[in-house]
Amino acid sequence: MNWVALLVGVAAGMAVAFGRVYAERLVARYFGLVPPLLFKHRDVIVPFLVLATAANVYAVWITVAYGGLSAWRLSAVLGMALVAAAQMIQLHIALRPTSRDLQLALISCTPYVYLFALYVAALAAGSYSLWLF
Amino acid sequence: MNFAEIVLISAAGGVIAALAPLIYLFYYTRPVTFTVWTGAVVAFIGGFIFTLLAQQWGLFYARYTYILALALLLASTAYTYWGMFRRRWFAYLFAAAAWIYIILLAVVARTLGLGDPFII
Repeated sequence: MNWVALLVGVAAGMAVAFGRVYAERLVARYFGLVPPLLFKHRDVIVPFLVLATAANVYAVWITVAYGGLSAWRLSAVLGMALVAAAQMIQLHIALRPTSRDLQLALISCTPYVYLFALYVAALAAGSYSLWLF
Repeated sequence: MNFAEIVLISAAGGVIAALAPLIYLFYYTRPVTFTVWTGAVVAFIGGFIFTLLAQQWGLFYARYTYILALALLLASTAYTYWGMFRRRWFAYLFAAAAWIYIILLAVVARTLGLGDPFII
């Protein structure tokens, strides 16, 4: 448990969520409407951005701290690339609100599925390392 | 815990304390004025000092002045949020009471030549 990574991640996630609601307000003001009329799934997207960015920061710490990245293990490099891609998709969700928000959010969950699959595989294989290949 | 980690956690606490009411106000499309932005700055400072002091729990948990400082900082954050939601700037004067208390403690400790501000 790393409190620095967790708290910094939550703070960064709240900054991204604030960017999302700020962009929603700007777009809604441009069209002369209120945000709930334009963005149907904002009640899901705003908390998702907080949690997902916190998870990304924590995943970066997991990848770096346990030697996966410095040993250039393919599974660790792949995980880091997936996390970076997910963060870029989530920033796109936050700053360019569209009607495809939920689909993009679902796609950006791939690194969490991947890391959880690695965790389950390491448990099943009795391995002490998360970086199996 | 080294110095950089303590400052990082304190900054994260300040950012969380400042952004939580801002996200609420933007989400529910409440009016955002100069008073609200000022409240965000006040909430950041309050959250920073609270997290900074809360990390020293193991050293000072038995001191009355320390517990009082933490409670006053929580009350200060509550007053700040009141000022942000109702857009009343004088709520920030109540919020500053906790800072004045901590500054007074520091001045008294410096005058008496003590090592830390939590004297009792």
